[in-house]
Amino acid sequence: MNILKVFKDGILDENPTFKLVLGMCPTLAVTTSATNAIGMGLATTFVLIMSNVIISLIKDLIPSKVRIPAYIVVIATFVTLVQFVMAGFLPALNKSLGIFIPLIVVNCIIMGRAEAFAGKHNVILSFFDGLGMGIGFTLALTLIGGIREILGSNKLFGYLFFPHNYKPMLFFVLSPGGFFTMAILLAFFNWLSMKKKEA
Amino acid sequence: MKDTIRFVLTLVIVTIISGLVLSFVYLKVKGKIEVQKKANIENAIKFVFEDISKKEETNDQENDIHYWKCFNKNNELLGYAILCKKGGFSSTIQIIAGVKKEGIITRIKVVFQQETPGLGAKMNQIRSNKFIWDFITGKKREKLKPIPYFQEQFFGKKYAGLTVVKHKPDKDNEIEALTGATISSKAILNGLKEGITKVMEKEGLK
Repeated sequence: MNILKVFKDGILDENPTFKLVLGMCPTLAVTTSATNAIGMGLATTFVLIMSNVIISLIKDLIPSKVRIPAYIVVIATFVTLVQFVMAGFLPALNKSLGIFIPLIVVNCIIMGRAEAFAGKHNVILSFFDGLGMGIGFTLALTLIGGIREILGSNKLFGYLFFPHNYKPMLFFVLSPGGFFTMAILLAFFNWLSMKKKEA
Repeated sequence: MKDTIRFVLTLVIVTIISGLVLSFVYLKVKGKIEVQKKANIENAIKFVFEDISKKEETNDQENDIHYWKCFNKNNELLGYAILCKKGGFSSTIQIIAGVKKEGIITRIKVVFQQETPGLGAKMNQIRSNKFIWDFITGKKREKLKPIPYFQEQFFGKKYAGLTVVKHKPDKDNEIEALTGATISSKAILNGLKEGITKVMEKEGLK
């Protein structure tokens, strides 16, 4: 297994949002705007890389029957740590990203990758798996967030998009709009990969 | 039996290590976090009373009342900067409200909140008139004041009769709720009302 493939899989073939369909809770909650989506994506990427690295380092020390609670403690510790450090040293970043940090603890991508990848591979591969998955997650969230923000509030990254006579469809900012956008994008990406397989 | 001990020991060690790491880091950053919280509140007080030059703090923890009597440079009472707290949708929202002694809100500023991004967290959103295309076309637009539009609705209003409505407000005492975040919106209003009422009673202003 090479580094490049592991990295690419996270973004494309095993994209956490569109292929593994993991972490739907934060996905639906924060994709109301593209800026939020990027914030959540970057915060998750950081925690994902670090927890993957630490778990792949300690995997041989932990008996497999108690690995799940041990991993959860590691992840929760890490998230809390990030929160402390950000609040103490990076107040500006904390103001914009701080609200996403507690949501990361409940993101099952982190646990999913710890269990499915970091617990079975070495540190370097786990690092790149975390990075790839994180970037894949960020891109997917930004795509969903961008679509919902444009349709739902006529903005992109907080800036107006269509001329003033476009009336935004509020529906897309609320949760049903999130499901709707997700469903269409999922169908589209599945159709793409089906076509790729046929060819 | 041997396995059980091994499992228990592993988890004990993992939790002890993470507990130690966390408490060590917390001790390191605790001071810094406090300093930032203080600076945040100081800035908010300056925002609600722009002419402030002196203030007296009252912190009554027993009754959960925390406010500052604010004076201008001629030593005239401007009003009270009150720290209001109220549980919102997913956090305790903390607001600094500037109130004149007649019960009129000068300005408010949310100093802490962890509401849902995109919904309740929009209480801090600033209205924008810039189009994303302006970056390409280079078109300049007039600058809007950087005040969150939700909070601006409270400025200059009497706190007593305010209500939250879910449509464009047509009366002076109505505050338009944030779309999809009625709980957060109501929490701000109720937090303000409770906080201000307590201070007014304590100061004998009612």
